[in-house]
Amino acid sequence: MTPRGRAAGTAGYRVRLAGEGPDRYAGAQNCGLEHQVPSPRLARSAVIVVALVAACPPVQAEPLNFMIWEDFIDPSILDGWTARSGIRVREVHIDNGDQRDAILGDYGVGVDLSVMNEGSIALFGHRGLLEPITPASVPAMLEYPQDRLARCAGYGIPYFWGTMGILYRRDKVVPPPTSWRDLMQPEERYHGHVAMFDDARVAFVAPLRFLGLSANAADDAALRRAYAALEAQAPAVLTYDYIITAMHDPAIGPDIWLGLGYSGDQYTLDALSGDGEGTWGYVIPSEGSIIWQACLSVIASSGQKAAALDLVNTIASRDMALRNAITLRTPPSNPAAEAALPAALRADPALYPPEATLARCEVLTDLPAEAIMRRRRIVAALVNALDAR
Amino acid sequence: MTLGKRALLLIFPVVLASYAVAAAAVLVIERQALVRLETARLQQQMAELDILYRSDATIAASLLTSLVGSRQFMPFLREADASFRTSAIATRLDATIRSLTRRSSSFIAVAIMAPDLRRIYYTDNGDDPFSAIPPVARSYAQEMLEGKTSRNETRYLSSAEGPLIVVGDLVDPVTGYAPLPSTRDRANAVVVAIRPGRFLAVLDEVAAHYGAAIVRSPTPLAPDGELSVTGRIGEDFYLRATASPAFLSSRDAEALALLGGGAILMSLLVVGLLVLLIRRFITRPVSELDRQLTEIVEGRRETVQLPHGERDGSEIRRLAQNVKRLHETVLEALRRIRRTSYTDALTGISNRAHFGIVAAEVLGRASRAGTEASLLFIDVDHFKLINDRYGHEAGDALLREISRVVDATVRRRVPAAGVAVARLSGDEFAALVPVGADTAEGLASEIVALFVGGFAVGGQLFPVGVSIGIATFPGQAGGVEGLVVAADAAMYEAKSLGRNRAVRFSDAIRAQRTRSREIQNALHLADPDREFHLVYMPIVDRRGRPSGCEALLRWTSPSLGTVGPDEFIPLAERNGLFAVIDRWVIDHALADWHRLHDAFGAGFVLSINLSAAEMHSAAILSFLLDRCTVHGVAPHAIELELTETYALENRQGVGAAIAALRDAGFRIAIDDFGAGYSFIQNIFRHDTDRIKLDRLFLERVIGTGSLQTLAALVQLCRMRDMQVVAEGVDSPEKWRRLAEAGCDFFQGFGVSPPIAAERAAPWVASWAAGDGLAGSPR
Repeated sequence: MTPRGRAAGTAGYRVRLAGEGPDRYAGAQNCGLEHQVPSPRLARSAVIVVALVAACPPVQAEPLNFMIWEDFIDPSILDGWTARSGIRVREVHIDNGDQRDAILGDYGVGVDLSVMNEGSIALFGHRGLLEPITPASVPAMLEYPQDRLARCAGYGIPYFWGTMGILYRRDKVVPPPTSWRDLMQPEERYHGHVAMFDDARVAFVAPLRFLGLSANAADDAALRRAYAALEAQAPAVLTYDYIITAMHDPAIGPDIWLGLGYSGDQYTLDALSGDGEGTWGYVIPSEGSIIWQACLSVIASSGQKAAALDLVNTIASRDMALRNAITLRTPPSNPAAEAALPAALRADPALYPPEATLARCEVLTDLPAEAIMRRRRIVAALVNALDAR
Repeated sequence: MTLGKRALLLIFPVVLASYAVAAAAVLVIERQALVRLETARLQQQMAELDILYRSDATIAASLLTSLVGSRQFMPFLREADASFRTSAIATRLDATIRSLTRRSSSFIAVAIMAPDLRRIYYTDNGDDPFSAIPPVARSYAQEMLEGKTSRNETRYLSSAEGPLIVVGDLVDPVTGYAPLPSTRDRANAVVVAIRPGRFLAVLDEVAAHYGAAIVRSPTPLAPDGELSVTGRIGEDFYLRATASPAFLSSRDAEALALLGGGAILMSLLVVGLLVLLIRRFITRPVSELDRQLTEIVEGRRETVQLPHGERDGSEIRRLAQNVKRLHETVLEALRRIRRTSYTDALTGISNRAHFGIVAAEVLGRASRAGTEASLLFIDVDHFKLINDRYGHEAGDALLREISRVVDATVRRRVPAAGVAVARLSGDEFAALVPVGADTAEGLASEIVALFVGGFAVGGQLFPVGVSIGIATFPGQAGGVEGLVVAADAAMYEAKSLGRNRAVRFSDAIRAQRTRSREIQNALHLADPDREFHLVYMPIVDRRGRPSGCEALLRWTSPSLGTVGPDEFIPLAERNGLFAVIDRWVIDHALADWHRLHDAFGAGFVLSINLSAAEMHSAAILSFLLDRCTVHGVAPHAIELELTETYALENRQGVGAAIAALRDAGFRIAIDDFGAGYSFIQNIFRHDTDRIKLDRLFLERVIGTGSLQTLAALVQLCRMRDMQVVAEGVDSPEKWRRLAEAGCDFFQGFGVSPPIAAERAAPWVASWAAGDGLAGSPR
């Protein structure tokens, strides 16, 4: 499952150092060593800045570079760890699984640990890019059941889990959506208010499940149908940016009423849009969806593997996992922490859908290279067409 | 044809021809300029094609170089795990390619192929995510791998999707460099294909616009045709664009239509303007003049108005001025002619014609006003005498003075307007005054009074008087003509009543006039042999012996009964019947001559009256001689009596006529002497045999006791060898006195009334037996 996250403003990677407060561009401004990487989303001409840790003069020890979705960890946990270990943690934000994969695939990147999704963790792990997780290196592993550990393929520790569905403004979208059709074939009045997603893996959940197909479909026939559905939807689409990234853009944020997203994103949207608690709603469409699980992995090439493994162990432990889950209002993968969740969270159907709904959800698997390439081209064509409009 | 139409017909062909010639000249020049211009345009487009092609070829070559040189390229190529390559590396390759192609709107495809041409990577910026590597890219790769095509050589290749610029390279996955020929079989092929969209658009545009035939060739080309351009496109090939003949001819037709239409339009504009100006400044003034003249001719206008806005000296103004002057001259002449034709040249007052017009107006006014008007018909008595005695100049002066005085008198007496005074003829005048008969009579009396004791002109007194007839409108006549006739009749009445007076027209005069008309009509119809007969009045000498008789005509009309000679003789003379009557009298009197001669005996003389008018013709003499011969009468036994008035007229020809008659042997007598105003010396102007004293004259002489004067007159006649006959001897006392005065012969009812010829012998017998006039010398 692709973990969610968000980047400020336009898409890209943003670096935040633990202990310096959120949204500090520490490396970028101070180090002077910038590496500009062209954004895959051409039209937005985003400049993505990645600070190279090595270039900054260490105050204490080298900080840990933690690649993670925006607002996907309780900062106090990192601060606490830093206080204990004396090692700072720098968050490197991503908002797209493909981008994260590309970063990890580029040899020599100085990331020490990263949030991974179950679809590609095995690929990177088998490739030797991820450090194997063992009870010896991460004792908290023992707190996790085998099935959840299996979904991290031995190269990560389970972090959070959730579903994918439709995010909507309760004040604008009435009645609330119930089906993927409400997103894929929105009513005329919602045209120009829809946010989709340009991730090659998860963006296809909506069209494929709408068509009654598996979210893991890899054959051209299924993808052609999915493309046709996406093309038909295109006139109603305002943006293909991840809805939380798009909400940061004041030019389009207020116009987004409806979008594809992860469970829990509704709380972030409430906070971002400033419209108050409960403005945004989340629903798992009746056709079913996917269940995702995020994993925490340590990069094999990290120079501070021991510190990274210690940080992972700290985050994965019951107490931290519980604090993290309560802060983020997202179901933790640690069973003990999950058991300790407040009843209010446990009763939230957006977080804990009924069994019948869960039964209609599937898990994303690794996709063949051809399918990934095809999906990327489809997404690129849609984005190009929108940019042309 | 009007001037406006004429101007249009003259101007239009000239202007049209001018523009047509100009348009034709422009067309010829334009044709050459057009070819030059279009050639330049085509050359420009050829240059643009070159630039566009080079641009796209450069993009393709740059993309290839950048891609092969990029950081991700070799890791991508070396990665054997397809999933990892796709998930972890291809994303960055995608990003690199998109950043390199984002500024191009053309279709760009990038393909990476294994040595066996298997696809390793493919992407394009088209809208079909399922598209495959273009076959031309694959074949290019194959040719590179087979060494048939050089690396990095841009080629312009046709494909099913249209022409593409294709460029490619070979990369050894081990070394990262271009393979040697020996290791070519393990090299990867990288091919970039780009659709030169703008180049193709311009090419299509050229082909469509010029209907051009486009020829592509790897070797240089030569132009082919009037409008044909060649050029090198990039480094790769040559193009030739040849415009179709239809293009130039259509442009020719366009130019022709444009210029032709323009010429016609301009012609119409110019002609319209000229016509407008000509009409405004030339034809309108003429038309205006024409209109005025038409109105003058039709009588709706009096004078010519000079045109406004025309300067002095302009033809139009001069024409108008001349027409105006001509019109005024004609008007003046007309006035003069009218004045002349209405004016009596001698006296300066109106003539008869003008009188007719003015009188009609006066009567018209009177008729409308319901008032009366009176006409005075004025005849000057004895005017002929003035001419005879004092000459024509004196007569003319007299008439002028009479006109002036009469006119002044009338106008003084009747100062109102509507008075007409005119000279009708010789000595006749007329005055029409808008007054009643009484006022008119007063006026007439005043005029008559002017003539009492004669009429003085320039200190000389002329013995003339006037007789005036008065007729009144509407009582006595309804029109001018009737009024003149009535007044004329009244005037005659005045004359017959002794002249120097005015007489109103009356019923009696009307009756007399009617009688005269009846006599006149009967006279015309009369058969002389049945209705006329002669009687003879004897004449005796001092001793009472019958010496002859006078033939007198008697008329018994079947309708009128017996008509006296006093009535019908003047009418006959006035109506030209005298010649017939005279000849009838002469013929029948001569026929009776022998019977009368037998009754009267030797020395018998027959007297026959002869109309004065006969004396103008020599025919009467031959007729007389002829009748004398026929009836066997000697001329010296015939005495021809001429009236005093005529015989004593101082007129040419009269003397000769009398002389001719005397020479033929006829005796001549002057009849009714003393009835007129003849001067005594006139008696002796002609040689005459006898003079017959008028009955009334003799009564006046006897009544006034002027017998001694008569005796002197008789003595005078004797001295001239003229015998004197006393007429109207109706009593012995008168006989005695006249005899004492010396008269030679006597005639009258005292001697004998007229008798028929067969009664002559008995009368002579009874006269001789002493039944004659008591107191006669016998």
